[in-house]
Amino acid sequence: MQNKPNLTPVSLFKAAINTYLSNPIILLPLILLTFIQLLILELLYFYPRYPLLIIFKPIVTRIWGEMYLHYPFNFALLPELFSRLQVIIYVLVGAFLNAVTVEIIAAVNSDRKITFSSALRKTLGRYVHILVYAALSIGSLIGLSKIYGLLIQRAMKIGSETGILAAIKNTIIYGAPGAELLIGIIVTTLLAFTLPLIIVERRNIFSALAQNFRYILRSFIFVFLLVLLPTIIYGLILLLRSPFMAPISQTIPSFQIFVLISSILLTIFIDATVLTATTMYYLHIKENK
Amino acid sequence: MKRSILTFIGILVGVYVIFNLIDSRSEYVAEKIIWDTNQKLAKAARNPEAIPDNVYAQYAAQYSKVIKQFGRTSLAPRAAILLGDVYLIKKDNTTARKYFQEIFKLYPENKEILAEAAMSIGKSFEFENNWGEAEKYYEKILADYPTTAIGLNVPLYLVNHYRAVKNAEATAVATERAIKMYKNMAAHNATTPLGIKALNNLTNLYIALERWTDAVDTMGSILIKYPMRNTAPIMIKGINQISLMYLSDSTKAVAIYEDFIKKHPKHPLNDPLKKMIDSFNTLKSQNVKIKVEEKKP
Repeated sequence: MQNKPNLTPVSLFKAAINTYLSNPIILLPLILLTFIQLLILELLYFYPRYPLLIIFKPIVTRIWGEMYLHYPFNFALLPELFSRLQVIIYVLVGAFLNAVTVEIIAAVNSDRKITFSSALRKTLGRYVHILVYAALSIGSLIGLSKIYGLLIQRAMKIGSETGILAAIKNTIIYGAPGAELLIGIIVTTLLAFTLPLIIVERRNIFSALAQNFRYILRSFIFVFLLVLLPTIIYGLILLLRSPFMAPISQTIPSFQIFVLISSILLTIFIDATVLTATTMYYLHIKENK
Repeated sequence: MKRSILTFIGILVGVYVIFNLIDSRSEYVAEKIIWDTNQKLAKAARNPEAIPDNVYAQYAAQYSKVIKQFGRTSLAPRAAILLGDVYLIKKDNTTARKYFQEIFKLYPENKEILAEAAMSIGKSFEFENNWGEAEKYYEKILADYPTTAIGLNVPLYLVNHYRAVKNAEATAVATERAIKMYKNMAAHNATTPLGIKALNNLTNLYIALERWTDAVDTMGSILIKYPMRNTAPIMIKGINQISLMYLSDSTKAVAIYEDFIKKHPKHPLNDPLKKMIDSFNTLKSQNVKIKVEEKKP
């Protein structure tokens, strides 16, 4: 396909922000998702205390050790516990609410009247396809992260302390958070049109994936930049998680909560922008086909 | 949408308040108070004179809160010790001793904490250069709480004290008593962790006194009596180091390892031990000696 001369990732990024700011209904599913995540995080915050301790004590003791039931060690485990639960939340609810967002964006784009409940009802019929998409998306993310983990293990075996080999080793090891972010961006790019195809064209997951790859093959760089632009802001969270911030975590254990909450809140902006921009771009491709 | 957001915020705040109310007297809350106050106290200890009295009073109030409000938790006795420590850091030894003495009334059954309180009272007298009074409390620990973690270290502590003040006669008496106590304790508690702890302290005592042969013998008996995965490698490392660096003679080490292999024929460490025996024999046949350089003043 050929892009219009005035359609650039930056212009689409700006248009996406303007669209959801002038149609706040687009944000409602993502706000609901944020609420669910914050509620789960809040419950996890209370895991070393009664009554949640009854459920968590045997699990935490068996997997991580008894010390993580005590202050301040519970804060060291909190990000790990939350990220595990986040995977489940994403597969069961997150991807579905993203799909509801796509449904609303498509309606807004075609000037159709839509309410949150009607979008929810309409999307519910596509749940199985969305569930498979979510599992595939999260599976790719975990799989690629595991491969990067193997790369880190290999890099650790490099004995050199100077020269090119040492530079490669340090880049792989210390660049891990950035690499994880890049993996996320690539997976999001590769599957960018799958949800719009499932929701707008009512395709099944396999047909949607096939068509998605056909579109992506022709516009990979454009979509990659579209996903990259809003995601850059996540660098702030990487900075908060970096070893430079370790002294703060050590003196203020609850700093971990602040980092997690910031990450959840920032994700609304990223998800809203990426979903709106990619859906708008998909609709643009569809119109110009 | 505003209503939805307000509802979500309301639910989050409500859940937070409810969970805090349900569990406001638990061990976790006490842990948090103690940890936060410990952090502040550790900072204060770096420059105790610069800290105003009211700040010390605030730290003391936090520990007192744990003792009163969380009395049923296992952290209350710990808070009682820390309350005394606040005044030790403040260099108000009289008040510190008052709080340590209270522990004897508050927790008469908790021998570990009582030994710790007695030790802290002893230390407070040492800060005032009053060894006579301090020693009374150390003797009390030896008489009343000899098998506690603190009690087990007191014989060694006394030997080190007399050596530091260069009192040869008292050092000899304290050493003889410590060796007798540790050996007795090890013999009577061979099947409990106390047995191995007593032998470990005996080893440390011999090392402090530079009685290398006795140290190797004691480590050898720990290795043979307690061939567990967590202790055996440490003992082997110690035996090797002392044999090579201080004794310049591996005969004892070889004898210990041969005895170990004989008594534990299926032990996973036997192969490495056999290699060590071969290495020691090679070093002996080539008359290799390792010389330890004395530290320059």
